[in-house]
Amino acid sequence: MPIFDQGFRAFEGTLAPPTHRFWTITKAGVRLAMKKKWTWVVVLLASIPFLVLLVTIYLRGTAEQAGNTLDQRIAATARDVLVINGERFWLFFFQFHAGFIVPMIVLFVGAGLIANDRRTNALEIYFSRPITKRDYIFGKLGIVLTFGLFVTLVEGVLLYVFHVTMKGEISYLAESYDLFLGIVACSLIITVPSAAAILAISSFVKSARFAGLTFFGTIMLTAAAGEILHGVTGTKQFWAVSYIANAQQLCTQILLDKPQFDFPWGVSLAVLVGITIVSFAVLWRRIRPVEIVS
Amino acid sequence: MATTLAASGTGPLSWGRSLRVLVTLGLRLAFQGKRALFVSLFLAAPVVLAIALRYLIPNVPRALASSDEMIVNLSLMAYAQVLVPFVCLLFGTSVVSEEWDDKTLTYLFTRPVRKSAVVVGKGIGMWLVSVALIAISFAITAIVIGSKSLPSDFQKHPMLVLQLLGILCLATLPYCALFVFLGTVLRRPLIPGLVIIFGLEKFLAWIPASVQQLAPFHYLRALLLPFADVSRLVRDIERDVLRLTVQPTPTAAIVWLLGFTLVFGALAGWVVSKREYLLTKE
Repeated sequence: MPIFDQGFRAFEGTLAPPTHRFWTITKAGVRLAMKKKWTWVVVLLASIPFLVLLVTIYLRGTAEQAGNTLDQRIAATARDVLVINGERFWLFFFQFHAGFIVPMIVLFVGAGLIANDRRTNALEIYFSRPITKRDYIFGKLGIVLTFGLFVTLVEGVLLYVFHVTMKGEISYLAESYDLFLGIVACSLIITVPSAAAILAISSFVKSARFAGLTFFGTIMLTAAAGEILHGVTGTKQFWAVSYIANAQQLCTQILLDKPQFDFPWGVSLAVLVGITIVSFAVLWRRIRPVEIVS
Repeated sequence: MATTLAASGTGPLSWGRSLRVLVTLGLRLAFQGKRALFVSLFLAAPVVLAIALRYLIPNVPRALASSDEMIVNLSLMAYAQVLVPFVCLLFGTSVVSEEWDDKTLTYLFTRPVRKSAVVVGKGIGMWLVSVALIAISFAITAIVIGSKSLPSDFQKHPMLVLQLLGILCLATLPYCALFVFLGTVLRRPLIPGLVIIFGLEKFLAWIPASVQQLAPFHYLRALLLPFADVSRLVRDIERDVLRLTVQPTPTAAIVWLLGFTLVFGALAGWVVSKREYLLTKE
């Protein structure tokens, strides 16, 4: 068997500017994830609320444009029942994403991102390239956000555009800009803290399995703690200990203009921002180009 | 594994002996590494919650803060809904899928024991560890809660704790069997397992129709709810569902839970004995 000597060769490609280097990691990670058939299955399952709301918007639009082709009574009933507003987006779309779908997606995509690199000592290979710790963290974050924001932001905006198209009035854009902004804000509120948290947990362990279980177990335990404290004390304020409840609180405040629980939405914002900041701090501390063996 | 199952004579070991060796192996593996420590951290959460409820949160109304109420609440919300399935998922799936993923399954199956005995033996070992850890956590939680109760409360408390503990230990059976089975079918059963526990099962259990009967939680809930004041334990919508559906009797619930265990256990043994596991990367 011939042995080919692979000596040093100068890099012949184009170097990305330092600000865009994280994108190389994101692109490679997304491409790798999309090669797995389970990623497609998970994303498809996560898109069920999108499909349901899409059909609802279509029915509403059809009822509005019915004119003489549809029984007027049926059209009127459909218009009354199928109201497309922030509440509908919450009940049919973001409610599921905040409580289950997005944590599941970020777990699936993000649990092994850093844990596997640590297990296989790939960090040293990463940092032998011209990338910094920041590029690595943002590159990995980009992978999780791509999938998380696809099922929230991209699908939400598509639904909004479809809704506006079905309305057929350009003036409706001005009337409903707050719904659009709500969709963008809710998508970020639901996705960013989860993505940062899963990466932080992933940086602590060398097993994707443990990272995933820690992340999801913590989310579910805090939800159970909120429920128990509510049950025993009879006050809804203790829901603030639940990650899911905080995301729900902010989303209902934005989309329905009323909070879901008996505590100020500022508390939820502080909790989610706190989780994000702590996660980034943990990532910054845990990601090291060289492992120091004590 | 390699040293424990050294062949003695010719032919496979008897079922009894292989089971004994494999249960020991399961117990040893469960405590190896950081798995048991990791699970213990999660199981410490109800203890922390109990301390918070008993000592840190002031002005909890007396009626809501009785020991019985609290311990039932914790059993249903924390243990039955989250911790029992979670612990079983971690230990149950490791029986086969972890060996499959680590490519050590070959070594396990080249030993002179039946493949089904491997699953049953290791499964029992893992189940024993799950039960032990859950029991320790629950006992500590109950002690913390009982430590500040009224004398009248405290007299009933130990009996109630034992009954609830029995139910939770019973609940570990179907969940462990289910996740051992899932681990024999899927190489990476974590996500499907989480979807089953926190998605599919809860969804089925709260649908007011006969599909509830497919969820082990439906029977577990039926065993725990008689101990509780339902009006304070569940939300309005959940109370409506409970009113609309017929809850199984305790005996029926126990039979169903044991039935789930047998079915999933048998399926796991059958799959392992029939299936050729490919150790190549998928």
